[in-house]
Amino acid sequence: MISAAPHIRSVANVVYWVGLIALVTSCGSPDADSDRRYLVMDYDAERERYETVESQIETLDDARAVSGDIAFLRGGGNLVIGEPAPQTEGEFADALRIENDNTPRVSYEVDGGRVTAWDFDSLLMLTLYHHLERAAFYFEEIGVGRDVVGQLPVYYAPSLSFIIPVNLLTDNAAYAFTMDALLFPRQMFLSDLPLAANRGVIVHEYSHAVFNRLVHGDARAPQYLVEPWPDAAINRMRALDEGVADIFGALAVGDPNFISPSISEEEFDIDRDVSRERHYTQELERTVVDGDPARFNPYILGSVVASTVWALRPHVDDTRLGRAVVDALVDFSTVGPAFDLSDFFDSLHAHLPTEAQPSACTIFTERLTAISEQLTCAE
Amino acid sequence: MRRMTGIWVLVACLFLNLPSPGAESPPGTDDEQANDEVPGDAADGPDGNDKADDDADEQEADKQDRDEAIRAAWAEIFAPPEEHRWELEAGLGLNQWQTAYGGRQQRRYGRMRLRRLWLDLLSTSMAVDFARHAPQAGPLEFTAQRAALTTAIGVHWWADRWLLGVDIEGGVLWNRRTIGNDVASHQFKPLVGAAARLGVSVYGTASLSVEYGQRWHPERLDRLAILQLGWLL
Repeated sequence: MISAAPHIRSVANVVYWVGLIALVTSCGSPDADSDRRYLVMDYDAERERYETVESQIETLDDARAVSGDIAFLRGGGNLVIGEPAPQTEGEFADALRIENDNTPRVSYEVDGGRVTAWDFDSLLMLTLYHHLERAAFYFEEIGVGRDVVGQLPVYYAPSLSFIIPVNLLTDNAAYAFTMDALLFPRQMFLSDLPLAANRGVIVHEYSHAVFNRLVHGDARAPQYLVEPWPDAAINRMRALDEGVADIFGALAVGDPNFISPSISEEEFDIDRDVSRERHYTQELERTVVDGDPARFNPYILGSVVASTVWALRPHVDDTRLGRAVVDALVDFSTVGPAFDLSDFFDSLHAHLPTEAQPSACTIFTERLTAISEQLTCAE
Repeated sequence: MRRMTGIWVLVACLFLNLPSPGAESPPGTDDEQANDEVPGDAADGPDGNDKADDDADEQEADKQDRDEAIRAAWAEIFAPPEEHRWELEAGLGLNQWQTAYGGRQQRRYGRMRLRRLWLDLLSTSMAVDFARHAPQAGPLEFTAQRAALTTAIGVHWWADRWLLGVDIEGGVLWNRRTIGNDVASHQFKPLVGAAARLGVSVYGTASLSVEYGQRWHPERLDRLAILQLGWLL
């Protein structure tokens, strides 16, 4: 009779070595993707300038398609007007769409764990995702979880043309609330840091998505577009949206003039420096009250809001300040047509640390002269 | 190349200020001079006259041979285009290259090509084209250079002064990229392509043509259009 013992020992040997190999390969060699460092363009707060740096991108699942938990990129495409005169939220959701967009195919090389893009657009798309991830991480720190915004579609280099095949959509960045998507058209005339590589701009645009979730309840159209709101309330709400986005961009990057690396103040006469002292005067209030929302410039009053909040930094650290702004926005989830900016600053004042509230009240009453009498803290 | 020999003869004539074929002989180089000879200038004595005549005849024969060579060279240079066997082309074009996001951007490029015609119809050629891309992006310093070395085989047909041609090509594409202070990286990719060409000859010695083609290399399909000037040899 042949003994079974040698065969059993052979099988055991095989199992042993297979198991050992599996153990070694699973524990000994790290996950290649999570250890990768991507060459991107990022802001160095110490040197106060943008530089190429190696940085990890933790949430990127598909580097070639630039897709991950935070966002998925779509390339090219044409912006098409769907519903020309939307009235309901459903019609607003169909107002704009992008057709003929593509899945990106980023070219890069991997050398010693470092991923370096092979062409300019690949570099910008990887940088863009990196900054979106950093924006999401920043908002997590100040109390807005990733699931609040979710995975955003981001359109890189979409175009818009009417009748003649000339692209009219260039040199800008936007959050389109009807599509719940970010748009980064191609840069054709600006010659400074591309907007898609400007981390402050990315945080600013991501902030609009956060505002949409917290204040407008993730609606594809804000209430003031589907309900009869007074023009003044619409103008104030839009200005608040822009002002809050500017303050988040400045706080996240640590640069009060985060837009200047991409859009020169001298060349384009655009002043968005939140460290510059600005006042909400009666004259400005008249433009808010009398202004037609179709022509109202929300950035002027928005810069007042942002600079007033920035002025609180000596009295409260940036993280707590950001949390206070988020908490103030959460209070506006039930905002109605009677909305006034004093309501926002009252809410912000209430969410600030107790030791910072007196100083905050002083700053609010000094700068927001047009609404100082409505501020609760001033009573 | 016989055409090249003719070219150098022509260059020599231009520098030595010798007449081109078909032109009147420059003054003082033909029998006029002999007719203008002053009596008494000839060498003295009957033997001297014979020697002088022989020398004059030899010089005349040399001059006729030289004039004939010059005329032949000019005839070669300005021969009908289909009789030329070589063509050296240089051009500037636009490459609608396929980007990483799927759209297309236009980039300028330059090219030089040396073409050989066979049997009045077939053509083979080698070409080098090159492009540089350095977008203005403030602190983001990015530079990319591309060069392609290709060989092509095709059909080129001259109808009077007009040319119609089709090529298929294959070769290698070289990319060089620098980001900021990063060390430059290189990359080689194979490529294949096809192009169609429409041209016209100028005085049989030059050509002006436009060419449109598509070129595929891994993950990208480029469209190229080029305006080129050719020298028919």
